[in-house]
Amino acid sequence: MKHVARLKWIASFDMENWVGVILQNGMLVSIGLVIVGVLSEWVTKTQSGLRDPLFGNNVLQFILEDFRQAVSPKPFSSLPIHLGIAILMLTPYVRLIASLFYFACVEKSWKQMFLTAFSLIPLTYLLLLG
Amino acid sequence: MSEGLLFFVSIVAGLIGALSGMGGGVILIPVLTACGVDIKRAIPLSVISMIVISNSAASGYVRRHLPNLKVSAFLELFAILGSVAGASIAVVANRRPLFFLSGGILLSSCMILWKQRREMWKVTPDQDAFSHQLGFEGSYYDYGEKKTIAYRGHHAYLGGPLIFGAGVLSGLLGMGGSALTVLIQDMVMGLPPKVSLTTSNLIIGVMALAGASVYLEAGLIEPRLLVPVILGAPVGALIGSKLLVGFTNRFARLVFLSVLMLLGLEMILHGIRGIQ
Repeated sequence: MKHVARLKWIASFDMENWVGVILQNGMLVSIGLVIVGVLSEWVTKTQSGLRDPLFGNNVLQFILEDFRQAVSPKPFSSLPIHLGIAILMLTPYVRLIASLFYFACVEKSWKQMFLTAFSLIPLTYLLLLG
Repeated sequence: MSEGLLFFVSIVAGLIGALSGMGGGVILIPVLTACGVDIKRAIPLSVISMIVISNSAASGYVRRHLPNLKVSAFLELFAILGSVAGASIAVVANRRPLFFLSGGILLSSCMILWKQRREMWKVTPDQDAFSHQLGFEGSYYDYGEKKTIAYRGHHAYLGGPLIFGAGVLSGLLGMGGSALTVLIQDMVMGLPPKVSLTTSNLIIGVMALAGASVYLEAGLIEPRLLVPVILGAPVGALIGSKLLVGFTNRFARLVFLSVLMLLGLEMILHGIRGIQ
C-alpha cells in the first residue's frame, strides 16, 4: 500500500514546475532587493555603494561581508543591492541542488544524480572556496 | 553611459537572449563598448546578464516542459568544466586568433543552417545506446504547430566533449559559447530547435555562474552598470519567452540564425580590432 502511494507521488511530482518556481522566486527576490537598494541610495543620496566595484574572493565571502555590514552599526545603503546580486548568482546553483535531490530521491536515476553531483563540485569550489 | 539607456538596451538584450538561447552579450557588448565602457568591464556584465536572462526565461520554459532536464544535467557538467578551464587560461592566451576562429565557426554553421532552412525538423530514426541510457528522449506540446512533438537525442558521446569546447570558448572570450551550445544540440544531437534553445537557456545560467565567480574575484563587476541590467533584462526575457513558445520550430531557428550571424560578425570584428 505504501509502495503504491509512493509510486503515485512520484508520478504526480512535477520537477519542471519546481525548477520554474525556484528560478522565478530567485529572480523576484533579487529584483525586489535591487529596487529597495536603489530607492535607499536615492533617499540617502549617497550612491557610494553603486560606484564601488563588487569585491570578494568568492560568492561566499561576498555574502559574508554583506551580512557583516548588515549587523554593523552603520551598514551601507547599497546593502540590499549586494544581497540581490548574491541571490541572483546563487539561484542557478540552488536549481542544480534541487535537480540533484530529484534525481536521487524521486526518480532514483543514479546516472543523472552523479552527473549533477559532478557539476556541483567545481561550482561549489568556485562559489564557496575559490 | 547613462543608466536609463542601459536599462532599455538590457530589455532588448533580454528579448534577443531569450529568443536565441544565447544570453544578452550579442547586444550588450557592442553597445557598451560603443559608449566607451572598457571591454574588460563589458564582458563581466554580459556574463551576469546571461544569469539574469537564464533565470527569467527558463522559469517560463520549464513550466511548459520545453527544456530537457536530463540533457541539461549531462551537458552542464562539460560546460562548467570547460568554462573554468577557459577562464583559467584567459590570462595567458592570445585571444585574437580565437575571435577569428569562433567567428568563422559561427558563420559557417549559420550558412549550413541557412541551406537547411526549408527542411522540417525530423525525429532521429535510430538512437545510440549511450544516449538511450542517459534518457535523451522526451516530448512537449508545441503551441506554434499545435501538436505534441516527441523527440530522441543522439550522439551524446560527441555532444559532451563539444560542449566542453563551447565552455572553454565562453570562459576565454566571454561570448560565443552559448551559441555553440544551441548549435551542438541542434546539429549534432538532433534535438528540436525549440528544445535546443530552451535547454541552452538553462545551461548558460550555470556556465555563466562559473565565469562570474572569476570576474567577482577580479573586482570587475560594477554595480552602477549591473543594476539597470538586472532590472531591464528580465522584462525583455519574459516577453521573449512568451513569444518563443508560440513560434514554430522553423521560425525559432530563423530567429536563432539571424542572431547567430550578428554574433559571428561581431566576433570577427573583435578579432580585427584586436580586442584583448
